[in-house]
Amino acid sequence: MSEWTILRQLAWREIYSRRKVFAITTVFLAIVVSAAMFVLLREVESADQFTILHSIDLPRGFETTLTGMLNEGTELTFVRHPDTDSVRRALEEDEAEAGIIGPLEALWGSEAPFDLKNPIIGALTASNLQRTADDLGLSPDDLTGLLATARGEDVGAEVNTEDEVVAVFTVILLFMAIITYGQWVSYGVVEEKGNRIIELILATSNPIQILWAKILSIGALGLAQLVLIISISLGLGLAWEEIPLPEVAASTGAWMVLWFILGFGFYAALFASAGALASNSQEASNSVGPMAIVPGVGYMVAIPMMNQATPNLALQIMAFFPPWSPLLVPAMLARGWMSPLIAGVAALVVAVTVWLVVRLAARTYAGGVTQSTKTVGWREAFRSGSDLLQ
Amino acid sequence: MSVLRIRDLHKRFGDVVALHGCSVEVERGQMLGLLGPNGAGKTTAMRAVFGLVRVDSGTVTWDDESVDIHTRRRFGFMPEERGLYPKMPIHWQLTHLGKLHGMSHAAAERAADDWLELVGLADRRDAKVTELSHGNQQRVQLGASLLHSPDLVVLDEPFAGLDPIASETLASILLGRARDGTAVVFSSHQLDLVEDLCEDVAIMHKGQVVVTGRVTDLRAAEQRRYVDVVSTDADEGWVTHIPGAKVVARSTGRIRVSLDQPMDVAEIARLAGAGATQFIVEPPPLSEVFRKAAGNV
Repeated sequence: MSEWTILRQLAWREIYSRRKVFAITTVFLAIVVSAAMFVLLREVESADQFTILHSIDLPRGFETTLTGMLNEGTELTFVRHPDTDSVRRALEEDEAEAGIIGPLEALWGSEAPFDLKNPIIGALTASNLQRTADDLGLSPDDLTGLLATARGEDVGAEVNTEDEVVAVFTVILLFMAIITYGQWVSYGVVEEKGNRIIELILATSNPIQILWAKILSIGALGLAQLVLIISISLGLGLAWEEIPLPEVAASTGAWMVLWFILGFGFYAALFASAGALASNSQEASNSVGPMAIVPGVGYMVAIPMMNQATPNLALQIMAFFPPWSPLLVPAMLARGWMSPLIAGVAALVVAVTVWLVVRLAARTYAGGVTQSTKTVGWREAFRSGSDLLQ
Repeated sequence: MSVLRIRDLHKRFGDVVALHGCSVEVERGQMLGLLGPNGAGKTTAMRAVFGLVRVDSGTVTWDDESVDIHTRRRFGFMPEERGLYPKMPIHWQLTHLGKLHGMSHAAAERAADDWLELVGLADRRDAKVTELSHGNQQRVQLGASLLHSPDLVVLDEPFAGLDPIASETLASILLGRARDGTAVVFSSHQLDLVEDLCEDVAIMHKGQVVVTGRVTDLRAAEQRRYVDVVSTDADEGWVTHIPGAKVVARSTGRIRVSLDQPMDVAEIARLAGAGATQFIVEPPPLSEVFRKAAGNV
């Protein structure tokens, strides 16, 4: 029997034992993501609708000016009332959002948004100016000249809100996936150590084989779930054309897959060795907890930075450190702060690091799991694991 | 000819010496009882065979070759602390472990079926370990070590916690495997059971094997003898005429006399007088050999 067959069998058990929880969480996440996309669709589809009451004849040009100042697709309904009191009563009973009771007078209902109030004030003012200009016999050009104002221009880097959302989504999703599936690895290790079956497995398999089987199998589950979430998001975004899908969404999705593999490999190996030091799941939490702070730092630094116009120096430096690269690089790519070439170099650095970390972690893992009755220190596990890897 | 050779193993855990020159050999088809008081090093020696402990020095060989992972797949192990996945179906687990020992899927499934049939758990094949009684868990655990028809089986306290019927079942299975050529090593504190089951024992004390050999030879090598005397005469006074002899048990018409050294039965009969009708001379039981080896006598 080849070593690959043993590894495959070990990996298959990991998948088999987690098939139910994986299926449940996957279905749950698929529903949540689909629902979120559907809510977004409804939000996009549901154009604003406002009812405006008026006790006077609407000023000439008011309706046209107002429509031009509101969001595209906004539906307006104008209802004539006999007098001001009638308009006031109707607004008090929330029958409409706004009321026009004089050439320069308006009333607001409790539901009137800021986005409606401002345009109504603007449209009334414009209509009044137009009427005054007409009374004075001024031409439209004269009126334009009279109303000329100073202008300013933004020359700073433009912040693309949609890319910012994609970047934040990337950091959150990768952080959650790496931590969640990394902990599956550590709890799997401590479970096998705690119930002593690890001794039977170690009698048939090398520690590094067991470790790789865990990383590959649980990583495959995490990857499958991540790909599913990305596919649902992109698929629904493409299917529902009304949803504005950012241009970087597809490429970011592809980068996320690569960086999940690297990030998970890095942290899963460390989490596995931390789990091997513990003698029960409570102690495993104590071992893994401090380790989870490391990606947490990357998360805390990245999230507030994603709405900035340019990345600060700390973020740029952290992106090249393997513990943080998996969270930061894909987000920086989404924001256009890093070229694909540089991202590729960072990926290579992390890939080499993962290979080294897995080798070191396997030694600690081997030294830890064979001391099944007690909690072991890092140094002791690392030292005693050396011969077990041969 | 010995196939498993454990030679001069040394292992310290901090200040504690677990193994101190432990050496033992096992042949194909041999059933060896590994005895010793708690802390003698039995478990450490067994774990060393499976590479579960890093020894400071010494070697473990199988057929004169160093024991590596490929060799170990032909071994079966039942650790002292039983270990199975608590929430997985027992048939699935046995098949899984069989495959890790190099069996094909079909062969492992068939072997798992056969084992569960043999130990009366065929109708519980989809039960989880936690749903089984202790005895049945032990049967499944034993299956995990025997399923793949190993060349060597090492069992750490396999009879612990078993009722007499379960012990008998386990003993007959092990005897059967030994007859088929499997080398069997097991540790136990149930010396009467070891005496019934094993032809050979190795007694460990303070990290080394202090006595090893055939049970009958070890018992016979002792100077002490026990003589059961059936007599119609209630007078035991004749015992005092034998130096170092004493009565260690009495029942109606029968006494058990301990002798410091072997003695001719004819001489005993002469001293006991005409009332004595039956003499059974025995060497000391294994428990006495054990206690002496362990330094308690």
